[in-house]
Amino acid sequence: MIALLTSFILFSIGIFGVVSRRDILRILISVSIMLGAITLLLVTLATTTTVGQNYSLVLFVWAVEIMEIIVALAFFLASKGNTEELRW
Amino acid sequence: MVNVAYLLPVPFLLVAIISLLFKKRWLGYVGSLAGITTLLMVANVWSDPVAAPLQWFSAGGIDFVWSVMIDKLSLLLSAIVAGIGVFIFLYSVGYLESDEAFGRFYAELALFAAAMIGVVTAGNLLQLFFCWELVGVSSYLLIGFWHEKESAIAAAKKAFITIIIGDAFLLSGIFLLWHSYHTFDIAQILALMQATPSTVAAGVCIIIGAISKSAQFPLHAWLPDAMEGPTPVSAFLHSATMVKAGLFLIARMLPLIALAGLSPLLVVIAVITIIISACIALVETDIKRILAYSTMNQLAFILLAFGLGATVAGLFHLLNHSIFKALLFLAAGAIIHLAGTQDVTKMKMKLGWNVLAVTTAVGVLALAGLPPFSGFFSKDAIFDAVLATHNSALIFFFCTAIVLSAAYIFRWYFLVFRRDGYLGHTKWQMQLPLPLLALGTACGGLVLFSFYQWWGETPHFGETMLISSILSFTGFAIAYLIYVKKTISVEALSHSAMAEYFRATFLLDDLYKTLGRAVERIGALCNAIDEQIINRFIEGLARFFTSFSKVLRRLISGRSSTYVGAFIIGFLLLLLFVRFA
Repeated sequence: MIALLTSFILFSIGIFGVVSRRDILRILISVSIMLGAITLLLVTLATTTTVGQNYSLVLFVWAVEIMEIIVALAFFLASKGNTEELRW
Repeated sequence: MVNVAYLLPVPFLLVAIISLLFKKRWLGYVGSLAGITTLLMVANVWSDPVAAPLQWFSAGGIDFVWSVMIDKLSLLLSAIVAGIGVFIFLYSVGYLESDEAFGRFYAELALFAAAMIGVVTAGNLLQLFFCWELVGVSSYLLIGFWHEKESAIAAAKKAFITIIIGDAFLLSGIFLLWHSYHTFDIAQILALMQATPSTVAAGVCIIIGAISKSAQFPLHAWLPDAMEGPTPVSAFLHSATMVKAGLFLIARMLPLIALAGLSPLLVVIAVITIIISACIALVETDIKRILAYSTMNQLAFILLAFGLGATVAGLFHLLNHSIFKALLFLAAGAIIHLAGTQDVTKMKMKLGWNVLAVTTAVGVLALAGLPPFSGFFSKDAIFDAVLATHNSALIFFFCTAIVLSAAYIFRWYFLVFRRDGYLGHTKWQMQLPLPLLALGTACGGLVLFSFYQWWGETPHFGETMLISSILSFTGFAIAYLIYVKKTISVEALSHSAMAEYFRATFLLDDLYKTLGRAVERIGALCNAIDEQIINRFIEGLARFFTSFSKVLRRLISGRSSTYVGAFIIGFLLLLLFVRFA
């Protein structure tokens, strides 16, 4: 129960971060937070109920998440470049 | 050995991959070849329908399968996609002569075609949704193909966001159906369905999803702006195939929609869209936007037929409309190349017996619904369905709609083609599809009987044909008198407040902009909360700990007296703690 609540709170924090868009890095981090919340939800459902006994769905979600991080980082580096100092 | 039905999207997929690797202009011909191959495969599947589902993966007790459902509907739509794709690929070889990004264009176009075939052959709703999204993505890529143009990027974003709203509803509908019937398979759902509230809600969600793809009210605003893409894209996606995906979904789930009692909703949406699109098409000045609004109009006719239960009439009009609308758009592309402008009031093409004028005239006559072209028969079929309702308001409205549709398309024709116009020739790749499509339009009426028989119904002949012909001719006469003979002057009318209201797209675009800005304000509000409240709180916490550490720092004074005092006080506290706890 607590885990579900945490997942929902994390997800809303992620949405809050995306909506209050100040810079692209903040948005990307918020999307990662959202995906972490979803993973938490899936794992909670898998362990506590009989609905999601199979973990392959979680793996699928994480594969997509990793690809999204790669693409986002690539985009970010391409736009910001690594010639500036690390200050956002 | 895998059944051919599963391999239907493969030729176009191969073209997409090859185009990404080798960026050559002649790959367009390969695309046409892929279209012909797919047509042959469709002919093969024709005689051997429905295949067993392939297991994709299984998670949490739900089986995600890759299944294929081949029935008359999917055969018809895949034939349309493949057939028109042949012409579009050929045409785009000539159209994009000065462009460098051939590989990207052919890849995106072929990806779209493969995804579209995936949509129409999907056996379960999840697979349909997956291919549906792919169709939306490739549409976004193709509309924004000339990504250096600001307006193209904005139009692509607008299209994608509007479609995503529909997609969210469609996904909700799919999940609602799963919740009720525990299956994603379309055939099983249609067999198990009952008129429960959740099924009705799922039906509404599916309708909204279909409306976003087929550009009906209220999710229609993306279609006119989608004309920012290259003309082959407009001809393929936004007239012949992608916008038909929404109508295909409705036709596929029509038993469910009818059971849920949602057919009146379809009729209402269709009526509103007809009004909006016909009025705006009468005052627009961009050659492709007029055609976009006419597409919206004709799609609403098909939706009206579905809502009234005349499925076969709607599907016949879908087939005919795909052919003659592709013809009109390809002709418009040739006209744009020759005239150098997209503004209808600034161009003059020769109205005579040349290829361009004649083939465009065939398309225009078909759209207006004049015999003996294909559009006449299909529009008459829908007219029959409207008459069968015995609803005098609806009948009067539909008669007006026929007159207006003939009027706006002949207005388009007479503004573009004049007696003293310019005569030119374009490349053969662009010239060739036009007469072939015109031939298909002209002979469309001949397949009327075989089409209806294939679906197991008989077409209705009668005096209604005369009435609809007269109505279409009235529209033609109005446009002729205004724009050719110039006997009636519409100067005052075209500058009136009503025309200005139509030109501003019924102020709906402004409404959507205001909605978008309101959502942006919510984001700004969240930003303000984040900055003022949350950051201040965290900074306050940090300041608290800093000041607390300042206090603690006094203990580290370097004087042994401080340390002895701290030791004694600590020891006394420890004694008290042991004594009382």
